[in-house]
Amino acid sequence: MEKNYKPSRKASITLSLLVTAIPAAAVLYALSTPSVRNKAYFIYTGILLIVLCVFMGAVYIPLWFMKMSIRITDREVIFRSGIVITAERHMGIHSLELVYIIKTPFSGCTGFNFVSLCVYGKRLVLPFLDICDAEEAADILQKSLAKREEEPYEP
Amino acid sequence: MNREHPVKILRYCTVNLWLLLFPLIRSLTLIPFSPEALADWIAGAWLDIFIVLFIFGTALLRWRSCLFRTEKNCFVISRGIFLQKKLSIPYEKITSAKISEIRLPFILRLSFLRIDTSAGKAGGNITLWIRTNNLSEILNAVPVCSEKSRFLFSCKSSLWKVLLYSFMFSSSISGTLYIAAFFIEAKNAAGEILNRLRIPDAINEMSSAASSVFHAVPKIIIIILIILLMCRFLSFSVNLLRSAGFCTFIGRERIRIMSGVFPRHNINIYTRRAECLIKRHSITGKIAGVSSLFITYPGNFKEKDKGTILIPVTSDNSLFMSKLSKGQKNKVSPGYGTLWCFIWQPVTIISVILALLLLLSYIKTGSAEILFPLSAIALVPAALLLLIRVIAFKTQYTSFQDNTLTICSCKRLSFLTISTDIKNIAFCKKTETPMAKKQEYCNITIYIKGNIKAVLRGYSEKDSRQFYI
Repeated sequence: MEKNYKPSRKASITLSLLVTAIPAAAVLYALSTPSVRNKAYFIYTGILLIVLCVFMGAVYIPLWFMKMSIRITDREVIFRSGIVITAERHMGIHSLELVYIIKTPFSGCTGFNFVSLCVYGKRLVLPFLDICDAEEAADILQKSLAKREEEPYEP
Repeated sequence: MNREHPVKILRYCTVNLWLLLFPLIRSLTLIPFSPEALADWIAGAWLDIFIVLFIFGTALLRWRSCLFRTEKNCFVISRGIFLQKKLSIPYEKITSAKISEIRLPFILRLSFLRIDTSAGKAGGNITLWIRTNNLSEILNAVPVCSEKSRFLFSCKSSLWKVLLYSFMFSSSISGTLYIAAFFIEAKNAAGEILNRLRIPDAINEMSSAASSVFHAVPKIIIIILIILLMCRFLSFSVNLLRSAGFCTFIGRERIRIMSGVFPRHNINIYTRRAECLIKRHSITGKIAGVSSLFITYPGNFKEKDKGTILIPVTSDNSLFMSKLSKGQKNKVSPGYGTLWCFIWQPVTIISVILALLLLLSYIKTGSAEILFPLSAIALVPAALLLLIRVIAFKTQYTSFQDNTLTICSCKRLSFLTISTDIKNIAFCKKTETPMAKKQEYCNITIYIKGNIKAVLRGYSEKDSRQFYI
């Protein structure tokens, strides 16, 4: 059994919008007030902030989502992430203690669902999965947990 | 059923101590003082008396309602005033029991008993203040504390080792102050308080005397050194009290550790419950050939369900690790071309400090006098880190044998040797930079149960696969 998951596209779009729109709107509102508008350094700082937000929303977050991947096999869960510096987390099913899903309000539309895998003293979160993917992943891991209880551990 | 020591009433009083705020607020009516105000205050004194009685009354009730007893197979504790909670802990589920005795002849006769179970925090904080008379009953009943235990191996630290340990591991306060000194020198924030206490005058006198002896050493460095020495002496004394009379007994079934003067600690752990053995030594420890050993086990002793016990000062050649862990087979060390992986952080820190120093000296001439001591303070830990990373490059390894994983690496300014069962690995994290990817090596972070982390630098792709279970 091997399952691959990619983070939700909805989550990528929502997060990009949140990161770009909210700070940009705040900066634009601040720049619209006369006391701020008259100062050149405020305008430059505002423009710089907007450029940063647009970069985050249009380039960094989509790339980050594109590079993220989750693989569940019979023996382990592998979670890859990172753009320049990549990180690969391997968690053995044998050490898993508890699996649960965190759903945020309107997670069906936003894709903000998280599967939390708890081991003794540590937690690995599989972020931004579609609701059906999150439920399927949690279900597979729950079954593996049940199966592990029946079988003796062999490294 | 037995009750706790009556001294516990005072401990329970502290729970409701915040209620004393009301008498305190009420006493504000006395300002400005007048006979009328005093009469009003006395008229309302019933409230203060009621609050004090309430504090002592609830404490007394709590003390009276806390009972414990030992049964054939379990330890029973019942607590609570209105809602009685009865906790029954089977002896086999106890992972460790710590007994601390206050040894004052004819006074108090108080001992502290803390029981840890695998349930961690869920099982509640089981700490009892017991009479020393009840101690022998518990020691006989609870198997892990049993006096009849047979131990395979025992170790007692000689006085010079305890003295050395107390000095070497007394760096936490001085280390913190070292960082604080940087900011004190930069901002001189605590100046007013120090002036009131006349501490600067005393330090000035001492540093002036020292400056006359050590020519060409900046005064600020002498001041910092004096403060550091004072702090080190303070932590040295505390550590000495904590670790004096240290001795350990290791058996197939249980480990017993005794240490400290006031109070005297007696820690008992089931050997099979020990999850991880961590041997830790600083650079001075590496030179002197001594290290401290930590044993982790499931329990609620410390944060994040991690129970830790420190065995101070074991000689590197001691039988500790060999008695408790397996040998070294399938040894893997980092490749020769991976030195940069180890030293990039300290080298970057040193470069940034030097670059800042150069830049600031260039911008503002004459500032070197102030900046030099600051940079020197910041450079010492960076240089130490560089040295440790270079040593770690030569000494880092991992080995597998009979499901036992041994990791030898460095963490911050100390060296660690971790020995654990492969089942205790929670998960592994592989981190790669673009440059490392080209050269086919990576950094591996191993998370062990109980929130213990080991970072292995400069591992080849092939070698890193052994950790992915």
